[in-house]
Amino acid sequence: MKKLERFFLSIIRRPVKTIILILVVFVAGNVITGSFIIYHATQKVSDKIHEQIRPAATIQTPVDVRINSLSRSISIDDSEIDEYGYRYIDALLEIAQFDEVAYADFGMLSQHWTTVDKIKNLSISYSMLDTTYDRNLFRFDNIYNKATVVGVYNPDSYYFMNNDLEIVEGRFFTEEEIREGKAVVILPQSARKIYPRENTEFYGQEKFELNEKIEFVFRIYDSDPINDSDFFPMENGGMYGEFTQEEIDMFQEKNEQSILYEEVVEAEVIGFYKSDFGKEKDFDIINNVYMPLNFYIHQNKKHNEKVAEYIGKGLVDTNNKEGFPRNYNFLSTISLFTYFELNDNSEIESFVNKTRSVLDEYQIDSNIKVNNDLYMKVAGPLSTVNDLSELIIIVAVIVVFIILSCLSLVFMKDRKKEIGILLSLGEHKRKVIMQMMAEILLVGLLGIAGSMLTAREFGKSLADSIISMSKQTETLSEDERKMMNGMTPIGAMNEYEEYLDDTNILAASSISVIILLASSGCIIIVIARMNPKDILL
Amino acid sequence: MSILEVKDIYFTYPDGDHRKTILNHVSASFDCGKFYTILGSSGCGKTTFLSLISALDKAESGDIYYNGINIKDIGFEKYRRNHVGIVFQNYNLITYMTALENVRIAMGITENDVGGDISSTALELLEKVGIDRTKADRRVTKLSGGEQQRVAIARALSTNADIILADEPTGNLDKKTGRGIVDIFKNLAHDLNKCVIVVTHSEEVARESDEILRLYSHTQSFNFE
Repeated sequence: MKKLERFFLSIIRRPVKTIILILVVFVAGNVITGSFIIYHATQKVSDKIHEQIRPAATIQTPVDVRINSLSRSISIDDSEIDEYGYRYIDALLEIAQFDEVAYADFGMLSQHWTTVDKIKNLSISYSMLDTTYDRNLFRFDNIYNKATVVGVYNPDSYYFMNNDLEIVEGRFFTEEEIREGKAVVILPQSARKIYPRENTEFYGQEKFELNEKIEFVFRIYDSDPINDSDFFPMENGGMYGEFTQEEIDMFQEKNEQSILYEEVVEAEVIGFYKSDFGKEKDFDIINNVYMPLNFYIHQNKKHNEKVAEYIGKGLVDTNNKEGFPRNYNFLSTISLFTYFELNDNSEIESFVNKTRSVLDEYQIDSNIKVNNDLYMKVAGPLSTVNDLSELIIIVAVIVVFIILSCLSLVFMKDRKKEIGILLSLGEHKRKVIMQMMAEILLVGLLGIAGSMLTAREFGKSLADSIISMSKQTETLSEDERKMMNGMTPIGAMNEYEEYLDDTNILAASSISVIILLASSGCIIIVIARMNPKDILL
Repeated sequence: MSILEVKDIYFTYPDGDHRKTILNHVSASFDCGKFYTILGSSGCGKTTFLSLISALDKAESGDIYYNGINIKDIGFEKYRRNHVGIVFQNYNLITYMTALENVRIAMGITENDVGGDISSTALELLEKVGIDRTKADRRVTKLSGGEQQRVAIARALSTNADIILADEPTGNLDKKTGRGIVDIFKNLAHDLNKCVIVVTHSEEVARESDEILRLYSHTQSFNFE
């Protein structure tokens, strides 16, 4: 009888044991290969996220602090907030000058709403809101009926440089305009005269063209003015229900009569931008009017001084909290975003220490977030999968080795007599060992081959279940989004699937083969110690 | 020259703190064409003697010669592979194989010339010991004890070894079947010129042999009759 025939006979004639071994190796192969490919894929994505997240930091804004304070029922007077805001800006400007900082960008957001006369005339018909919902236009003229003003600190603003916002006509600010705080603005394309949305009906036709002037109107009223948006249908944010156009005109006339002070600030429209970001993420970004930060701060301070003057004269009721903010509704000092990119990750610690001392000096109660925090926020679930898969690999390798070794020994014990017979017939121990190992290897390889076909799916479902268990619900803040450099957490999560390549499956399967070989190694010891006399006589 | 010569072999077993002598400087010689039985009471060292002459175990001292060559020089595995065929009391067949396959497996291991067509030769051998073609293709577990012992004898013969060794070959068989097996051994010695050595405690089997070697436990040595 040829060796090969003997070899196959023992496999075929003992189908139960063969199937048990194939199944054990198949399951083990799936666990090892699945974890291995997931480990590598998640590792690659984690590395990519690490690379992609810039060495950067953000500083939690006072608006967040204020919200936190309010939630603890501590009221901060608005004038205090303004003063706090100015200190905050000064602190940011100082931090931006640190040696560690390669790039700084922060924008200021109007604390309340801002009246922009010409834009007001672009109001969508509220009767149209129910039927034709145009997100871009609606966002521009949202329920507050006003645009948000953003002061820009850096001519290379990430908003624009990363194509979150794309200039569709005109240009971005020059360095000089930013530095000197020139009266220039960039508007959303929905305010552009040639904005191609013919089916939407507007009241006003006064859209903007490049180089045209936009007027920001600063007013102080002697009583609480009624806002246009208050006349919207209730379901669209209106406050008072249905009004006739006649009633609205009457209220507007009353508003105009109660104006105590009015100042018109002009700025040149130098560009229009568009963004797809707002559509996906529900941020107000596309409703922004961008202007140089210095221009913003200058106007803001000037008008706050004017408000203080009227309050001093006793002409404005500061106790009317509901109406009060609307009395001086031009600009305030709430940070929309802060972004400090550092020269190197190694400088994060010194940056944080220096920033903390500046913030203490200015008495700013802010939190500093560095990229590692963001990395954990974005890559946390992925990191969990990575850690778990690494653990599974180690445990699986050990457990599988033990199981296969035990299984080999059990099978050997079962075949002890057969081995004794072969040895009594004069067969070399070496050949008997090789036959036994070859049988285990062949059967094991069948299991491993099977696992190669299913390991990808097994690994994927393993990873998906771990991810779903630890999936983050937090969304990224605007600052954090800047650091992400265009990558989204969901995108990062799903990206690991791209790295589930066949090379890793092959590599992982070789690990299974090595374990199989190593575990069958115990056969050598067992057979080498066998004495046919003890078995047979 | 004898085909097998045992010279002054000494063998002990561990027994508690000391070692118990089983074979105390035993010598014997065996020729082809003869049917030998080794007789003795239980524990006197019959099976140990068989394990030594079949090279399944090693004596502490003394030598065993096959055709004048020390089996140590031949090599124990090679000696078993080419020069002896062993028949065990409990047959020791590979259970998942057929009778024919059990015979063929030994033919695949030996280096002796076993004829051109291994299967036909194996079938002939099986037929010689009373296993027909139908039974030859049956798994050995489907055969009776006597039939299994016949298969074991066919396997021992299949390698063309000069020496056939058997350890209590009739121990698990009824009288009639046992007698049939003994007849086969007689024929192997007389017709095929094999040296057949059977270890037994059965006087009846011994009476059928050409020479009886009695092993006495008090001296741990042979007396020939």
